[in-house]
Amino acid sequence: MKACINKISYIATLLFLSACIEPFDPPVQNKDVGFLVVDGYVNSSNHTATVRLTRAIPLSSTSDYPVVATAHVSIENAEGVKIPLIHNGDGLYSSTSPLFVTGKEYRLLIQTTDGKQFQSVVITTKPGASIDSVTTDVEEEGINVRLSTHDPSGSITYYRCDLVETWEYHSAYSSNFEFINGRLELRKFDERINVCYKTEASSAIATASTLDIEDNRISGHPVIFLEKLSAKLEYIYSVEVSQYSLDKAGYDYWEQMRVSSQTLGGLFDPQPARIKGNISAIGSDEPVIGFFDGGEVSRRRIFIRNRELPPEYQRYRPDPNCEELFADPVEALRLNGQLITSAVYEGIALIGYQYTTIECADCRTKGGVLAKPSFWP
Amino acid sequence: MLKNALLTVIFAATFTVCLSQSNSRITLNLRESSFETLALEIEKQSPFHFFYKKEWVDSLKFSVTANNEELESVLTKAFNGTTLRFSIYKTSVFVTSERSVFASLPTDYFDTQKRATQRITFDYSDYEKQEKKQRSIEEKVYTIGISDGNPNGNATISGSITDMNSGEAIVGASIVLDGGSNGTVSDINGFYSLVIPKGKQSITVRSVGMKTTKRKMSVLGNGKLSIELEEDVKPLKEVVIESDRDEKVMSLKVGSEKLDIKTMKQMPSVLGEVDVLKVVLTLPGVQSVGEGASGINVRGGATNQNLILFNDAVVYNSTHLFGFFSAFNPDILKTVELYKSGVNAEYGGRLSAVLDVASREGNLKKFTASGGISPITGRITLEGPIKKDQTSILVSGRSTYSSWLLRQIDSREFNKSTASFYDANITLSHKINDKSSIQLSGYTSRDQFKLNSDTLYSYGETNASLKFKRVFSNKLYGIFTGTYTDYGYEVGNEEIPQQANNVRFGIQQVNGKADFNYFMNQRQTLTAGLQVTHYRLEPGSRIPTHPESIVTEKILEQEQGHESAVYVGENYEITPKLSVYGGIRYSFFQSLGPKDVYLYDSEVSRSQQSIFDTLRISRGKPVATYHGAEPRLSMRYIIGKNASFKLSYNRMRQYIHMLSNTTAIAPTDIWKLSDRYIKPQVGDQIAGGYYQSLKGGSLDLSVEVYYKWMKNFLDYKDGATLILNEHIETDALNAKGKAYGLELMLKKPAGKLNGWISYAYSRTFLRTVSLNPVETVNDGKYYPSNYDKPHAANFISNYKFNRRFNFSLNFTYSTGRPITIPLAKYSINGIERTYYSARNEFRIPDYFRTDLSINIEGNHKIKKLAHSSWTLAVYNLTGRANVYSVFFINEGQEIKGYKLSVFAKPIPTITYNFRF
Repeated sequence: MKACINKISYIATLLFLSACIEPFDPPVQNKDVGFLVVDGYVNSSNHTATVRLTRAIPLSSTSDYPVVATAHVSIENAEGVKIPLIHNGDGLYSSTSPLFVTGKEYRLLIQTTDGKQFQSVVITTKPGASIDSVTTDVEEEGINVRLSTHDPSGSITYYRCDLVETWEYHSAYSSNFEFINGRLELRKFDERINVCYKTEASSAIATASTLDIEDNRISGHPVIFLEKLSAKLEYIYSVEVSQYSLDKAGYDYWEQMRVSSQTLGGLFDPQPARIKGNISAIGSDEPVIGFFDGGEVSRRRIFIRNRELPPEYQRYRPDPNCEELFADPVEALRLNGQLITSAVYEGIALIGYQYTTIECADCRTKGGVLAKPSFWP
Repeated sequence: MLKNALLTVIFAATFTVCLSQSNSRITLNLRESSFETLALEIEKQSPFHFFYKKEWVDSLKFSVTANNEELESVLTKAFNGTTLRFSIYKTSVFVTSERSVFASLPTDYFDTQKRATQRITFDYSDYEKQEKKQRSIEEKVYTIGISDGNPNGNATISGSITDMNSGEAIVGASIVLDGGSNGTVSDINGFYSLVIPKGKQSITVRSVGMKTTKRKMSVLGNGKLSIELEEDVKPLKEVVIESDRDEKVMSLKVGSEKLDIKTMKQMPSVLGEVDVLKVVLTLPGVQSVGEGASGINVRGGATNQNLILFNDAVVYNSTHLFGFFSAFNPDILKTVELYKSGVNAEYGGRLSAVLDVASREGNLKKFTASGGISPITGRITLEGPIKKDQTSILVSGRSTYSSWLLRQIDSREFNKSTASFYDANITLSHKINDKSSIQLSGYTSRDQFKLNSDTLYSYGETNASLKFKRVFSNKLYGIFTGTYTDYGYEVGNEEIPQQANNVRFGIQQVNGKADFNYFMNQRQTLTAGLQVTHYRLEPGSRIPTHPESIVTEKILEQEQGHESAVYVGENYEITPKLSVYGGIRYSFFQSLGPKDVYLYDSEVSRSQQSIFDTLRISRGKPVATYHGAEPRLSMRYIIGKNASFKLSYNRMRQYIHMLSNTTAIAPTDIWKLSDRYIKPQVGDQIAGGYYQSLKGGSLDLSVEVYYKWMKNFLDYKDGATLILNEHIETDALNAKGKAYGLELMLKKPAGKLNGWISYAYSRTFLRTVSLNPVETVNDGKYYPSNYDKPHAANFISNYKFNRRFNFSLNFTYSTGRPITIPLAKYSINGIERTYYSARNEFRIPDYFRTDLSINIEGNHKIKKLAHSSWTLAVYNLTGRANVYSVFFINEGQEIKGYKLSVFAKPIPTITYNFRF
């Protein structure tokens, strides 16, 4: 919604708040939009190629993206050797081969079960530059995560980063009891369900070019901004930055992606465009979405601990939708779809239980997992 | 009634005095004598004494022979064929020009009661003085030219039409020979030339809002007659816009509209000010991309394809505050002329249309001030003579206090925002003598805004023009003009010290031209001229503004170029029904060094990688040269009494281009000269029209059709970087455009109720032309341009309740503009993305708006300190939420579309205007 406010204020400031915003339904609900979506990369650092095939869905759809699990996928090198990629589930095809090296040419070939054939342009795997540092700037409004890198060889001009964020979060209440065989029992410590870890790819696209910068250096380039009271920063937050080298075509593609995902077609925005990837259907003009690229990848992970942040970052973030209610021991047994948080005693007599909703006591309902990631401190 | 009674009284008086005349006999033999000789001769021979007005008699010659005749018969003979009448009372002879006797008296002269009440509001002595002065001018017979011995044949009279009060030239006044079919219209400089038969003639001069006047003359040969018109302050029962009545039918112009400030002032305005561009937008064939968007699109042309001239200087930025205000202060405007087609050869340099805006010259007679205050802006104009009737000055300024308003809004978002503008004008006019005049005009403006960020945008424009007019003979006059334009913008960013920088762009142009107008004869007028323009562009620079800044300095190499043109055109009335205009303009452009030119591998699409060499062009040497002919043709054929049919063809060439990949003109758009790779844009248009005046001229109907081809239109690769790009050719695409349409307009130019209804069907398409699929939009097929709005209709009405209340109601409708929207979403690497439609495949909802305004004038005493008026206006009366823009936001799992309306509720404004 922030982007929206910016856009509106851009104009509304001049109009003394007379502007108005209403929903707009694009007149395209019935169009067939199940285009093939390809995400392919030849990682020459670990000689592994991965390709993920999915399909596009309508804007208003809330279902999952359908995966394409039955296609024939292969990568052809400059010598004409076709290296088949094996489907490992979830639309993900991969292969590790000593043939995947830096500085060679490759082409992606796909054949779907309906007989349609697709191919990419020929790409060259690019050398990488190692990340110098990933730093954080704690500012008034939030934290800027910045990347610094440089390429001593001077052969890399364009970079792209993608980010995978992981953060620890807690449910509003911790459920200390559970029903076992119709009886309320104290929950074991290692079965607690109030602490979760959520991992998500960041939608922020960070591209950078050293075209205008002295000695091919990228210094403190902002890659992601974390708002001060973001739930991600309540405990421990981690982000892994993966840095890819790009050629001009790749940079243009990702720049377009970045621009079009940040601006969705305002009047002063550049025209949103149908971004052409480098994959096309053979013998038809059916749209194919996606980009195939390759090269060396450099990664770096950092952690941000809430207790090390300034006090204004350490504010309690209450969930206004959660509250505890009281039930006597008989009622407590009949509670359905609720979780018991604690027992209430008067003196030593148990008079009842505090309870709350599952959403307020089971952190998994918010999309995270209980298992602590292997890299977690 | 009263007038008739008066006539009776005077006739009766005349009759009685005639009976009581004394008997004296006179003998005379005069040939071509003056009245004085005649009177003197009679006075010698008799006791009679003459009383007369010199103006009535001084250009008359008398031939009379009398032998011992009575005075009455002598005078009857002598005055035969003149308008002179006489009355004899005892020994007094009163010589009158019949009409003046009766008309010069106020109509209610004998109604003392009424006169007494009217004295309060009318200063009669002053009024009468002026009336009498006007009468005496009208009654005077002017002798024009020197006789060449041939009393037959034609002669040319010429001169200028000016405003009696301010001395300013009046444009578009009609000058018609009484009883004949000859007539003409004063040109942009108030100049006219009319061919009439020799002998005693009279002409009638009419202009909007001015009193109609007549001139009597005795035409002996070619000569000069300048005419001053008086502003009409009296209630007008007759039509208001009389002079324009037949102009649309009679003139040769196809697809042109002339608006005077009086018409514009009657239209409701948003934000309380008369806005030239908003008025122009109500004409058929003129569109904008949306409310509050800068720039106009004329007949499918891009916003940068309009030649906008302010006192002949090219204007690059025609609006303030994203288009909410036009750059022209309404108080100083005289005329606005829009040419959509049929552009004459003197105009050139832009593809689509010409908007010629002229300011007033300043009052030559007395000092006056005028201005207005609205909730957003304030403006003031001062003008007056430095030397009466010869030199005048006009100074005006306008500024906004919207920044102040923004700060009043209790929101952090808005507190960080600022937006303001000002503009100022100065015009100095000097009449050197009857034949020469000079005018210096200057304009400067500045806009600044900062919207919810620390980035400060500012842009400004400065124009100057010096114009020298010289009438060489009554057939030939010339105008020599020098103009200067300086436009630039600046974007400063101080947010992060490491990134602090300042980006600038600038353009300067100096233009010199000479235009000649030669009235060959009654049927032929020749125009010719020469123009030279020098451009200097600073295509962009970025300078770090903080010691810690790691942004490198980048200054793109200056661009410079010369554009010159010669033209000649002729208006030729082949028969009274058929007139043609033929003109040709030949333009020549050179982009000049010093400049680095990149050479690209011709095999592949141009990119940084395909540069194989750099060519250094040294100072003054051409980088690229383009030239071409631009034919301009118009034809008019009159059908019957009140209708005409017209055709026109014109070709235009444009050597300077705006680089923009936003839909509206943004303050950060840059301009670029044609060079080795960016070819000049060329546009051809054929247009035809049918014009008819209906109901005796009270309604004008026009139907126009056009078809347009455009070549070398600039479009861009998706995601192109335009700012600070030294090889823009790698991002530019070459597009072709076509546009066609039909425009209907029914106008009631005058009467208590006036206004117009217009409808336009217009389409405009673009197509990128390239062999490389990456360089094409929509696979190289035609796609609608951003401002393709097929249907547009306007209803503009204005009703005068009385002299003081004026009510105006307008409706505007148009199809929504095309947009590119997201169609589907997909996920790559766990990140959701959107997939867009083909370019401009969809449209925003249709636009409809109703506006209302009421003008309340103060009382109409001529003599009082200040004249004031109030304008109450409501923009978007129905509060309809017209969609300005559509945007999409990720909300949870869904991507939701939203439509933004700018003026989603009625916007009332109240403006106080004053003049003293």
